[in-house]
Amino acid sequence: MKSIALRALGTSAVLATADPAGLPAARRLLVCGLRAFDLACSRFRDDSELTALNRAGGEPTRVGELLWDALVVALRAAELTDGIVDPTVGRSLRLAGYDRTYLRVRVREGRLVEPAFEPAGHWRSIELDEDRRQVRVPPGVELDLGATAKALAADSIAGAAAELAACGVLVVLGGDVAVAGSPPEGGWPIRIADDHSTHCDVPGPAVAISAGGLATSSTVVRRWDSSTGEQHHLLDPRTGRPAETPWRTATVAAGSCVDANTASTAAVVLGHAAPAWLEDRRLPARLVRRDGAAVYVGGWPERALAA
Amino acid sequence: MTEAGPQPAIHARDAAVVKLRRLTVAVLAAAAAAAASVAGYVASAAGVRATSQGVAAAPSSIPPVPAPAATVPLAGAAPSGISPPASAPAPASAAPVAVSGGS
Repeated sequence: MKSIALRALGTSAVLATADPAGLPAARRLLVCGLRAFDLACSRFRDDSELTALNRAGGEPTRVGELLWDALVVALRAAELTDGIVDPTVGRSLRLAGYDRTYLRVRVREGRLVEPAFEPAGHWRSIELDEDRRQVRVPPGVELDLGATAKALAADSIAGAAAELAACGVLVVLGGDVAVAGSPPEGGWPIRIADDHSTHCDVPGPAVAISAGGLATSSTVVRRWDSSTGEQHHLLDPRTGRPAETPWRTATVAAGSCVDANTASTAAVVLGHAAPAWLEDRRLPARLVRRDGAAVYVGGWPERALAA
Repeated sequence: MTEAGPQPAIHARDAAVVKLRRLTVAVLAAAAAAAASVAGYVASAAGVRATSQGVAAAPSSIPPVPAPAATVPLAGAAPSGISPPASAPAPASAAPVAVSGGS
């Protein structure tokens, strides 16, 4: 097994291959794929397709295949969570103060930022025309694909890299994990933490997965100061405000990284209802309360304690 | 009609997309097979919703996003549409190679 790490999509990326010989080919595909997703789906690039779509003023807009796929996946997530994971949260995020890359959010004078809170919930109004590959976003609605597009990138790149490198591949984008191909014996060992920038060697729980995806959502990262107090990026689309939740972190395993990410984001926003929601869907999960106490759901291994 | 994105961005992206497109489709297909049909989100060639649930007519020529088509879960899949893993995570027996955390 061999791995590399790099910066991408405003966060970090990790690539590992079960066969060290497959790493160079997988790395080329990772770099290629990340650039493609960034150009298609970034809310912060002036030259991205998503930015153009958000600025189209309600005009039907032809989009590329990758943005199309990312939109379909995002709308599927909204449907499956009854709008708890909502791609039309872009305007709410901007008004709440997340109006530039997080690196720039961190360095500005936060106390001068006056947030406003506006519910989202417009995902059913997004119009798709598959034949023309056109999308219409109603005026005033802004898309943010941050959650599901990153996970889709991880799934897609892991699948492509596993085929190209002819071995098992793990891709981690900002803490969202996708694996494909034949895993190493015992599965891919993954540390679970509040913050994806935590080093692998730091003591903490660790699990192994052999297929699908694993995603963690947390309210302790991507926070910013404002004139009315600290905000975080996991907004509740129903209020447009940072989710008020008993969980500081939710980690979910699913059949794909997209589904894991959808469920972990929903779990944080759902709050007290999350354990039952996850159990109903047979999704193994580890939820961490704000005081650090962990709740295990759906067959998550409670024995995966600090190594 | 508006064409999204400056042309250089599209050209640069397209070169990368060629390699990824079929895998993206594969991911979508897997998701559709596991749960909600992706085809349910898009209009048919005739502009008719590909869903049994139906959606009111839209004022524009582009149909709105319809409700999802009936799901066809795989054996063992939950009816929610979010695909559970083939097996629950196991305690790791080797040193971690990556971190899953918030970002």
